Amino acid sequence: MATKKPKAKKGCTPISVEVAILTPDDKHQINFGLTKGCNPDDTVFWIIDFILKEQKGSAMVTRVEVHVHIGKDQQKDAEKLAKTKKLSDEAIDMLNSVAADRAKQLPPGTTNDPQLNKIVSTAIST
Amino acid sequence: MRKVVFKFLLVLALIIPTSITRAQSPQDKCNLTAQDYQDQNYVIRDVRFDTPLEWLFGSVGDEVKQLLTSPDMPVRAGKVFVKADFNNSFEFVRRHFPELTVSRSQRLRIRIAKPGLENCDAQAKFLDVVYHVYTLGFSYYLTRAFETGGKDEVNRSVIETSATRTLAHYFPVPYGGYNRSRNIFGGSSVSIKQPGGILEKIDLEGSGSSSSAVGRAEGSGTQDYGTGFIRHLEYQFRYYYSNLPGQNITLKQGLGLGQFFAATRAIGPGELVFRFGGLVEGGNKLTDIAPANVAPGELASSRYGSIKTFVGANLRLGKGHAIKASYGLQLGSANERNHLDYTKQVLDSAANLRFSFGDHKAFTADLQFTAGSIHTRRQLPVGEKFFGGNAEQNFIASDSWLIRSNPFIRSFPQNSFDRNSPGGILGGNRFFSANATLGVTVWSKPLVPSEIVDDEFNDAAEIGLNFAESSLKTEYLKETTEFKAMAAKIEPLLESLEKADQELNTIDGPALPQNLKDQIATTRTDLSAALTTARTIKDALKNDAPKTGDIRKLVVGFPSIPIDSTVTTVIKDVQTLTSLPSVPSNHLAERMIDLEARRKDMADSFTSLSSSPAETNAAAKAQKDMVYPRRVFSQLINDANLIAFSPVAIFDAAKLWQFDNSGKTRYAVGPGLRVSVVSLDVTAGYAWNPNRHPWESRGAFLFTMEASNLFR
Repeated sequence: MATKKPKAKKGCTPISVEVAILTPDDKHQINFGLTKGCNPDDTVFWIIDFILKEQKGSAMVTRVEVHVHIGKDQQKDAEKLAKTKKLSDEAIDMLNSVAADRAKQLPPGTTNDPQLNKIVSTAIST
Repeated sequence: MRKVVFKFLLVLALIIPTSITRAQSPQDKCNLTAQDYQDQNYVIRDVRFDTPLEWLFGSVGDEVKQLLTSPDMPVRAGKVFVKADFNNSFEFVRRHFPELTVSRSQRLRIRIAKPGLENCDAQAKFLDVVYHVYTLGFSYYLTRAFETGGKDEVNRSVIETSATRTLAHYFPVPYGGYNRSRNIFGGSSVSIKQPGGILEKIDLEGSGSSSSAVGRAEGSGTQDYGTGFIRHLEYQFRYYYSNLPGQNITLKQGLGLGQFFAATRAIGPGELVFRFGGLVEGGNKLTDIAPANVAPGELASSRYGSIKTFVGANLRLGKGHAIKASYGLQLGSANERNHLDYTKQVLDSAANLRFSFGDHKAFTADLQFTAGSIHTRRQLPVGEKFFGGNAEQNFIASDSWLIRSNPFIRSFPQNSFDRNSPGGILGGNRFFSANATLGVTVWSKPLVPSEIVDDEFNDAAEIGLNFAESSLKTEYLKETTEFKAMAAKIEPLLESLEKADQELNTIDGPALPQNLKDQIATTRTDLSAALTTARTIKDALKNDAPKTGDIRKLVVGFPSIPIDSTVTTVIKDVQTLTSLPSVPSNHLAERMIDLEARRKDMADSFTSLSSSPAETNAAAKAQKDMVYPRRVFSQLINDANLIAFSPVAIFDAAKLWQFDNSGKTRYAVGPGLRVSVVSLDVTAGYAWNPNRHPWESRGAFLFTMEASNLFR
């Protein structure tokens, strides 16, 4: 992107991006979100949101929903995505399959699952 | 879209104070870190959202107020600023954003949010906490159409409320205005949307003055397609009544019509889009001229019916420039037998040129040339002749495609450019008009404050746009014959899995040792998972394309985690099983050799797709799809203004004549001022008639409102 307006460093500032796309066959909606949050010591944490919906009849039904808080021990994975600015095909497949399978196994209301966190953080660094 | 003085003043009344109160003086810029402001005990003066046009909706303000004053909101006005609260509050706000939704007409949306500090008053130790939220949506057709490009990208609200949802379905717009032909007029329109129905939108409109009246009732619908040559289809059914005076004539009509038009996909780097359509209408055309005073072969008042067909194209020329051309043909009848009484043709072409300079400033040139002719075979309603002035008429019934069908000259009031001699025949059978509006931005307030546009902001957008591009590439790849050929290998693989399952049954039994039973159970679980995934892929192949994630999970795996493919897991399970002592004799080893061969075959085909021409083509297609959203984002950051003021210069030339080519070209010259509110341009001014005839006016005030095409 040609838009570059470098500014002076201001410590850690949160930022969030979310994208939603309807696939060309009109049958799937994919939402992906990446949020950079700031800890009190100006270190960074990341939140990944991934939702896949499929058309069932006239409605879009959620097939996969993953919200993962990437902790300090997986920072490098998220930072890698922030640097490369791109998820690989394998990463998207991983979110769609392995992460989705794990999310389905978790009891409703689970907010933190180390295994899911590892899968997602590995996916975004792939 | 024009003559709406009331709306113009309302918009100015709302936006200017908003802009001024939010403007930061240089000494109030927040150049320190959040920690510095915490250390210096700054107090929060205001907490607010900054999202484009949210001020248009009071309900959004109310909802935002509720969110910002929630007991769970970590920051609030009057509290001492604490960095941790500032960071946590953003997460609190983010969690309350509505989920982004997409539709066939808006297939891609992106939202970027970032908190910031503003108006840091070093003397009083006050600051404002501001949450900047930008939501963009991209309609394939509307963002490329010459008339509407850029109108729909910036969503009007980010916080959905019950009231905004209601407004989205029932949107009333009161308006009023003045022009010399109609005098002061007022009215209202209301749009009632019913997504999913055949008639998705019902529009009702009425306006009136002491001398004029306009009424419209319309049902319309659209269809958008993600693939194929035709990407947009639009249809309308409309009843329209108007009673519009000119200086020398009053034109009345009551019409019922049905119309459709279609737009193709964008072709080539200039995103050439063709549009075509047809219209059938019938009703009556009336004037207040005495029948004795009209020319031979013309009818002062008559019934009316016509068929219209129209075609056009629009094209982008480099950054910020666009051109269009449209042609319309009308076959008309003024009798009850529906004979062909006359034919009308119009040609309309326009160019919008934009040259950026400085910070969020631009020189713009809007050029248009229109010509028309009528050939009378039998008789012609006077109301069908060409009457010009400072109001344009659309040849068709659409807001998203304008084919101007009358001489547009801004030094004449509406319908008053009508003759070439004091007692001459009213209306023309031929015309041309050429118009130029030149403007230059002298003051602007950027839509996205430069303070928040840094590398992180751009990178966040890039991640979102790249994700959309990758997802599109995968979807396009799945449509290729290469992908389907690879996926078809699921049949032999499934056959192998089923044979393995059968073989497992032959060795299972109650008398087996426990360790053997346990390993068989493990193998069964993994085999069952493999079979389920394989059957899902096979079923998907019948009606659709299977998911790449399912194929990768089944035959390739994820070495980076590492996670074996499901089939490999089964093979390893079986190897463990067959290595155990006292396992009954079986053919599992042969089955596994066969299974592994088929897995490898499918996995190799899958991985080799990534370097295949099919992948390259899919990537190119996805990249092409994303060119426009990327450009829109870039222009949103670099060019878009929340509000801008531009002096404009107006030059018009027009000529109206009968068959004899008599008459002189008339002109309009004058200054004006354009106020741009995001992509809505409101232009007001005065145009003189420099070579006026004695029966003509000296000039006319002009007022137009239209969506500018910033995001081309």
